[in-house]
This record gives sequence, C-alpha cells and structure tokens, in this order.
Amino acid sequence: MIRFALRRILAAIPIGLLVTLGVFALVFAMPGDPLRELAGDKPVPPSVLAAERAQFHLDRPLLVQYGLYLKDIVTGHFGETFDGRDIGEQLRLRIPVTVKLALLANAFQFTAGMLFGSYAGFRRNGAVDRLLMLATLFVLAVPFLVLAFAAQYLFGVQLKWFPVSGTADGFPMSYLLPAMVIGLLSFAGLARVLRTSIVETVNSDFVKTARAKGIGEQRVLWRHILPNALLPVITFIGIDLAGIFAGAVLTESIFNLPGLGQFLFQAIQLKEGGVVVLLSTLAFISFIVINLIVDLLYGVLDPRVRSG
Amino acid sequence: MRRSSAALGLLLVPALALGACGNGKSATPAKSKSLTIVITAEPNKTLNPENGNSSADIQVAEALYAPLVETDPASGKLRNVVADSITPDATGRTWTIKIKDGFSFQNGQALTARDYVDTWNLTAYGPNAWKNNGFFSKVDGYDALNPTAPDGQTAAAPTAKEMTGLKVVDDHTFTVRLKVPFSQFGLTLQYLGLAPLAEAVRKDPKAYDHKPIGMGPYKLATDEWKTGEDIKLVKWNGYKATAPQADKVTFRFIQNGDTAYNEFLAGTVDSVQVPSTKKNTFKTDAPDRWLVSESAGNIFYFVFPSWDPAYAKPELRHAISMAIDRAAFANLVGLAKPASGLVAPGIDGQRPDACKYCTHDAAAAKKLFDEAGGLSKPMTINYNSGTSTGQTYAEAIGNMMRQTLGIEVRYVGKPGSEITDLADKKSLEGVRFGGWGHDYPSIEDYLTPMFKSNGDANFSKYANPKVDQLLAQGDSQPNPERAIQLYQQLEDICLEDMPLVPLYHIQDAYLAAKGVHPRNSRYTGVSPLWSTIDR
Amino acid sequence: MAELSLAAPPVETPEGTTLSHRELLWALLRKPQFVVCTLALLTFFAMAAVPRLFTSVDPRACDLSRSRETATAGHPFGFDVQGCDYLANVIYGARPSVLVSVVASIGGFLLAAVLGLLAGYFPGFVDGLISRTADVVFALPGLVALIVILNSVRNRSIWVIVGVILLIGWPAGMRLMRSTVFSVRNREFVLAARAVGVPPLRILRKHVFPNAMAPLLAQTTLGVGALVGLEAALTFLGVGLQPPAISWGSQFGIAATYRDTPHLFIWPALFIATMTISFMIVGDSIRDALDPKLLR
Repeated sequence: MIRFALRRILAAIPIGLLVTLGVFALVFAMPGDPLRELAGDKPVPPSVLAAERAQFHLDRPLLVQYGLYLKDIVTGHFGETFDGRDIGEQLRLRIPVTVKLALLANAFQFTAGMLFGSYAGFRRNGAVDRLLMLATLFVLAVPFLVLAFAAQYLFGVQLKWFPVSGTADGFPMSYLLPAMVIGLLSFAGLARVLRTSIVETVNSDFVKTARAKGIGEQRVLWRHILPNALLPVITFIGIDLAGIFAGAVLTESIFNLPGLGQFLFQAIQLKEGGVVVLLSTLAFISFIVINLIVDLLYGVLDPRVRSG
Repeated sequence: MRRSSAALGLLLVPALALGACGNGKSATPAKSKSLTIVITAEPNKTLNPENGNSSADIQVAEALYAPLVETDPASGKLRNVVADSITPDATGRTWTIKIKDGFSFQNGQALTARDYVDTWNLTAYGPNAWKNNGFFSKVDGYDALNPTAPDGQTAAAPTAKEMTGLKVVDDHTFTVRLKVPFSQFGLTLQYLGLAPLAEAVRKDPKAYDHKPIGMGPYKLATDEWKTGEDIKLVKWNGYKATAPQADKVTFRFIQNGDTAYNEFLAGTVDSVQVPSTKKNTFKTDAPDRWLVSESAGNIFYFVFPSWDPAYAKPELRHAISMAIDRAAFANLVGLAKPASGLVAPGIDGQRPDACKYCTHDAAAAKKLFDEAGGLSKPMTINYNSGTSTGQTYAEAIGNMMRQTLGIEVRYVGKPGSEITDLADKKSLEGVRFGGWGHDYPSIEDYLTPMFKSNGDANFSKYANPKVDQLLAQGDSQPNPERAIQLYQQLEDICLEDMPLVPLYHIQDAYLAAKGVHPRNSRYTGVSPLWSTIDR
Repeated sequence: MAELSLAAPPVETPEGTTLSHRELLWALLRKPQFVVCTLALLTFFAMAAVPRLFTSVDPRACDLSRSRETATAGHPFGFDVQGCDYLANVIYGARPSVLVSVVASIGGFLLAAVLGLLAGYFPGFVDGLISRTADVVFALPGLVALIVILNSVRNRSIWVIVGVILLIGWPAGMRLMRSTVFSVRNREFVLAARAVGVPPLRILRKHVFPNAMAPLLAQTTLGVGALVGLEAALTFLGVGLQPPAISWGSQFGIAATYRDTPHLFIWPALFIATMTISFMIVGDSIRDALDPKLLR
C-alpha cells in the first residue's frame, strides 16, 4: 500500500507541473491588461507601468515568467500581489479561514446527506424520500444568493443567533451560518447519490443471496449493503473535498470571510499568473492527497477492487 | 483620486479632502463618541497616502493626514487647512505655497516645506511606481523622473530624482512651477493623496506601510495595523486644525455591499453606504436612519468612436441622444438624476439646460436620424463584462436605439481594460460607456479630462483645436467668473459636437446609526468621518 | 451459490434484450408520475422549438419606463428590468436553457459513462491514462478555465458554453462511473460472461453498463438544473450568453442583481425547477424499468 501511495505521489509531480503550466498559460492568454485594470480608466504614466511590469516579471516571455513563479513557490518567497499585498501573509490569513469553512460545511453536508440518503434509500417512496425530493426542488428553485442573504438577514440581523458576517467571533461561531447554508445547498446531491446506490445494492444478487442464506438483517446491512453502497459516495465526497482550496467564492463574499476563493477570483480577474499558479498548486496537492485516500478507501471497503 | 467610474462601475464617493464643521455641540462625555465606519471595498494595501488612490485609501488618509486646503462644505469655497496661503503668479504658472506654523507629524517632527517637496519628488519618481505619480505630470521636470519609451521597448532609467519645478524657499514656503499655466491648480491641492511623509518614513517607506506617521486628526490606536483587521484610530491631541467629533474611529472593510448593509441593520456598525441592490428598499429597512447625498459629483455617458466615419455626422449623434429616455434610464440605475449637460449639478457654472439634445423626443429623433442618412451598419454597444449592471445598461440603450431609430444593435461584453485598450488604439468598434467623477469641484475638472485632446477621460479621442485653445484660455484666466464663462462657452461647443452622450448623475445613499449624522454637503458629498454625534 | 448461473439471464436471452420495447413502454406508462413529467418535458421542448405557440407578445418590445412593474392585465408575469413582457421572455428563454442543459447532460453522461467504463474495467494502462488525464483536467480550477475560455472566444454561442462544460465536467462523472464499475466488475454475472468468452465490449455494454450506470444517471438528472444554474452564474461573472439571446440563466443572473424585485427570479426559477424535477423523475422511472435487478 505504501508503494502504491509513493508511486501515485511521484506520478503526481509531472501532472502538477503540467496543470500549473496549463493554468498559467490560460491566465496569460486572457485578454486585458491587469495593471491598467487596477488603475481603472485613469491613465497610468508609462514610467510607472514599466516599473511595475519589471517588478512582476510581466515583461518576460511566458515560460520564463512561469519558471520565476515556480522558483518563488519552491523557495517560499511569494512576493507581492499586483496591488501590493504580501502573498505569504495573505496565505497565512486565508488558508485557516477556508479550511475551517470547508470542513464545517462538509460536516453539515455529510451528516444531512448520509442521514437523508440512507433513509430514503431503504424506504423508497416513503416520507423521507419525498422530503428529499422536496428539498432538492427547493435547492434548485432558490438561487444561492437569495438563500444566503435570507439566512443572514433572518438569523444574523433579526434573531441575532449568529454574527452577520466576518470572522471576529472566531471558530466555530463565525462559520456556522455560512457552513450551514453551503451544507443545505449541497446535501441533496450527496443524498440522492447515496439513495440510488443503496437501492441498487439492496436489490443486487449478493444481498439477496446473503439474505437467502439466512444471515441476520443487521449483518447484511453493515457487512454487505453499506460497504458497497458507499463506494460512489466516497468518490462524491472526495470530489467535494478536493475543491476546498478553490474556496467558496460567493459564500466568502457574502459572509465577509477572507478565504482563498476570493483571493483566487481576484487573481483571475487581475490576471495574476503567479497567485493563480500558487493557488492551483495548493489545490492540486490537496486534490492528489484526497484522491489517494479515496482510492485507498476503495480497497478497504471493497476487497474485490484490490483483487482487480 | 480619479476612480474608474466607468470601467469598474463603482459608485463614486467624492474622494476629496473634506472640510471641517464638526465643532459646536460637544457637551456629551467624550466616552461615547466612537464611530465604526464600513468601507465597502478591499482592505487597503498600505497606509502610505502617496501610494493609494482608491476611495478606501482616501477615506483612511482623511483621518490620518491633513490636506493643504479643503472645500468648505457650507459654501463650496476653498479654504486653508495646513496651508497659510496659496498664491499663483500673474500667469498662473508658478505657485507659492506657505504652510502654517505649528503643524507636526505624530512622531514629533515639525512639518516643513521640505517634507512636501521631498515627498512629492519621491512620488513622482517613476521606478517607485506609487499610485499618485500621475498627479505631478503637470509639474516642470516631471519627465526627467519618468522617461517614456515607444511601445515594446523598455524605458531608460530616469535622469533625475527631483523635479526642477519644486523649490524650497524657507522652512514654511515652497514653490511649484508648472509646465504650462493652470488657474485651477490651487483647487487640486485639496487631494489627500498629496499628504506629506515624515522624514523617517521617506528613508524607508515600505517599513511604514502599516504603521504610518500621520499628521492629521487621528493616529493608529495600536503600534501597527495588521492586514485582515479593522483599522482602529484614536484622536491625536497634537492636531492643530479642526478635527471631527469622534474620539475613536474604526474602519471595517466589508467588500460585499449587501453584507455591510446587513451588518448595519444588525447594529454592529455606525455607517454604511447603501449598495445598488438596496436602492428601492433602504428607506423602509432603516427608517429615519438614512440620508441621500445632496451632491452627485459625477457624470455617466456613452461615447462615440471619433475614428469611425459611420458616426461622423453631428446630426446623427444628436438624433441618437434624443432617442434616449433619460428619466427612465435614471430610474433603472436608481438614485440617479437625468443629465442635461456635461457638468454635475452643484458645481459652479453648471447650467441645468445646457444640452439642447438631451430631451427625449422619439419622433424628432427618428426624423433627424433619417435626414442624417441613418447608420450604415448595426450599432455595436460595448459594455464592461466585469460588472453586474453593464449588460443591463447596454441592453436598455440598445432597446431604445432599436425601437426608436429602427436600427440593428449588437452587444459586446469585454473586460474594462480591454475596452480602454482598444479605444486607445482607435480600433474599438461601436459605442461604449464611460463615466467621470470630479477630483475637485470645478467645471474645469469635467471639461479637461473629457474633451481635451489626450484628456484622462477623453474616451472618444475627440480632438478639437478650438476646445484646447479655450481650455488654455480658461486655465490662465485669473478671474474666476471670467474663467467660468470661458468654460461654459466650451461646454456649448462640446455639446454641439457631441462626441459623447450624457446620460445621468448618480447620488449616494448612506445609512447611519441613531445619533450619528454624517455631514452632507452639496459640494463635498456625504462624509461619515465628519459625523455630528449626539448619542 | 445456486444463483450464480441465474445472475445474468436477462441479457443472456437469445434476443439479447431484457424487455421488449412495447413492454418497456407499457411499464412506464403505468406510472402516473412518469406520464406527467414526460408531458411537462414535452411542453418545455415545444416551448424551446416554437415559442410562438405559447405567447403572441414580442419579447423584445420593451418600454423602459415600465421596468420591473408587477403583473397587470395582459402581462401575467409582469415586466422585466428592461420593461419587456416577462411571460414572453421566460417562454423565449426556454430554448438556450433547454439546449444547454439537455445537450450538456446527455453529452456529459455519454462521455463520462464511456470513459468511466473503460477506466473501471481495464485497470492498468487504460485506467492510468484516463484517470491521470482526468486528474489534470480536474485539478484545473474550473473557474479559471470557464472565465478564460469564454473570455477568449469572440462569439459566445450556446455551443461554446456546452463545449466548455463538457470539457471541464467529464472527470467528475467519470470517477463516479469508474467507482461503480469497480464494484460491478467482479460480480458473478460478469465473471460468468467472461468465462464463457463474451467479448469485453459486449460485456461492458450488456452487463456492466446497465448495472453500473445508476449513480451516474442520478447525478446527471440532478445536474440538469445545476447546468441552468451554471449558465446563470456565467452571466453573473460576465461571461454568459450575450443579448439579444434570451435565456433563463441570464434572467436568473439579472434577477440576482435586482433582488428587491422577487418576480424576476420566481418565474424562471419555477420553470427551471419544474424542468429539473421532471428530468429526475423521468430518469428514475426509466432506470427502474431498465434495471435487470429490479425486474425480479
């Protein structure tokens, strides 16, 4: 298993380089001039522009720029953003915010998703199943922006149960409301995947065989149904978690949480290749690690996977 | 300073040095007089006033620093703060600035003429790439600090570190020689981005980015302002001019306007600007706790490409202007006034009926349009795809063109900088939106940027020797009334030529807590920092 | 295990089909929710194809002075931001939204299913190739790709948007499919089919796919609504469909800016939700009817 993990990690390095170079090239190819975008309509003196271009290596060819940014990442000298903020400091401030928000939101999503999904799966067309359908309908019908602001207004402004925005109240208080909003909006997807998966598994032959052999209902559930039904669910969760470092742009903006999502979004808008490459690298590393864990879990849950 | 109204689609908060009027009732105990002001923007990157020109930068600078002069919010006239006198010579080319005795920095260093001259030279030095560099391009000797190079070549290193136009006369006097006469130069000196840096700061500006040595009414409450936190300020006793009432001021950064609005409703902050999404509801959401600015120090318009012969006939442009229902458009924008000229209301010399072609008349517009030969191709409307309203406004104009003039319309959304880029190269197809907010309340600060050849906001690349000549005459006219007459003459020419179509002026609305009354002036706009506090 | 030989019979019948088409149709038509939802979908498709059947008002006849007015006689949905009749706009908005969601869903399903089947069934080189490519695409921040690609194309048509969605969307579905194929691959009936020498592609098509597609199908039918939502987000980010195109997504995007006018999002939201729910139920019903395991 360790060899498997090592091999995957080594294989990830060239992929990572390819991904970050791809991202960088994409950002590079975007229309518009970031330094001018920053200045708005106000003309920037050419001398100032030239000085800034040199500072951010913008006067160099694509590959040289990429190499310089890579060097910055490896050596840990992240430098400044185009608008003069210290990137290392931004990361120190923002990573904890994003991780806290993501973990809490995922906790809500998984709890609700697993509960609803498994219940709906075992009692198909029952009350919970229909409730899930309704919840899905609700989530689809109400735009995220509206739901988030409504929650903020109701629970923050009117009832004062949670802070309206910001991180001043610390963890978990400041993060509860935004995390619940994200969880509410995303648990339906997880629940539906789990529900379908359970329906599939309950009706599959090996479960019937197990029942026919007279194995107890509890044992069938825990040993046969759940491990198999969980495979797609784990994939789903892995996909979700891997997105952590991409941040939650809208949520962060609405609840004034200074996380990575906002940082990435601004960097894209301003064509900040260096920052985008840095954040993509972070995202990629978390992605590889989580994928690895998911693949290892497959093996644990389902012995048949290993045999293949 | 010049905020990119059009490209960024931001509301214009007059980012000017604001005057004092906060004395008067001060019987209540000093304890309760603290203010928490929301700035609806990204946190500042630095507290160096010379390296910031966003509205957030200026709002904070207004508390930490003091301007040379300011506009009296009651009369609209210029008055001195740090300056003792500002006098032009007969031509308006060389200006002598005397500063008052007794001002000092918050580290105890006395404020002298040397501080201004050295700070300004530092800012004007191109390689420093400070945001307010462009302000000094009018000063003699600026070019030596900012060598230009043709496109694609790296500029040579500057040949000087000091502008020849700046001279220290004595401890309290210095002179500024401009490249050409400019009668409005005194007005421009109220900009807070010109605040002086202490000697210690000038030696190592970076080290002081987050622990400024100010010279204004407030100083940092802590040793250092840490990124990600509120900016907490306390009153500084050494300040010699009139200060705002609050003893403690906290600036909190909330980028999302709706979030800031909700924070206000929850009672956690004292003042917040109303975001565009709440323009229809704020009066009922916070009854008795709102105010709408008396000024609208800006103008929004759309611009014809002067390089496209299809739009060459002035009659055609008049017809297009007359096809626009400005009242309905202003209503769509919200809290806006339909434009009837090129200058914002409240500015000296503004005339409410300056524009002959700004009245909606569909039939006359269609007739004039057909007489002028119509448009030989579909009208392309460019909008900034980076804003949520760009597309909506473009479509509103497009619908009026399509339905009133019977022409085809195409819409193109692009990042703001790309539109600017294409327009600079004169290769943008079709019309685009633009906007301008004054830096100092003068009719000149509308006409120069918008219509002078190479003006900062001359998006149509309009070039008319007569206009440039009249501007030069106005700029070198020492008598203010005579100058305004010249400028008005100029406005008439520009409206007749119509390289751009004025659309609307936008007003700001604010919410303020009970007992907090932000200053509201038709000259300087709304200022939460200068609130009267009676709670 | 006695059932081992019985495990695969439905596909082992000489005809090679599990149910005759007529039987399938009959099974479906007996479900009222299937009938209702199919009718709803047909209505949306008709709306997309011939909007004029549903309204006689020109969606582009606008009067800005009526901007955001609520419903009046003759204008049951009220007016939009531009002062155009909102009913006509919502009806005309069906076409791009239906096209984007249906084409991207079907295309995404097929792409993810095929690649997931291959990756899950052929471990080693094929899996490695597909999975690592997916890693690359997946690790690319979707936001960057979307904004960059859509900003770079001259003319943002719905086909470009569909293409970009497919390009960045397939790895998620592929991984889901791959994981279910893993659990089906070593089931008894697959082993049995392999043992009797059925060619791999036939095994994939007849045995693995029907048994492994359910989670992906569930995910896809759920995703139809999300795709319309994505189109709205694109408008919000400034890279959506440009006027004069009319779509639910852009109506949604604009409604997000004018949140104090609820009717602007209620109507497109209602249409999007109805369409999505219909897709979900129809998808579920078909899967139930097709699924060999549920037959017995």
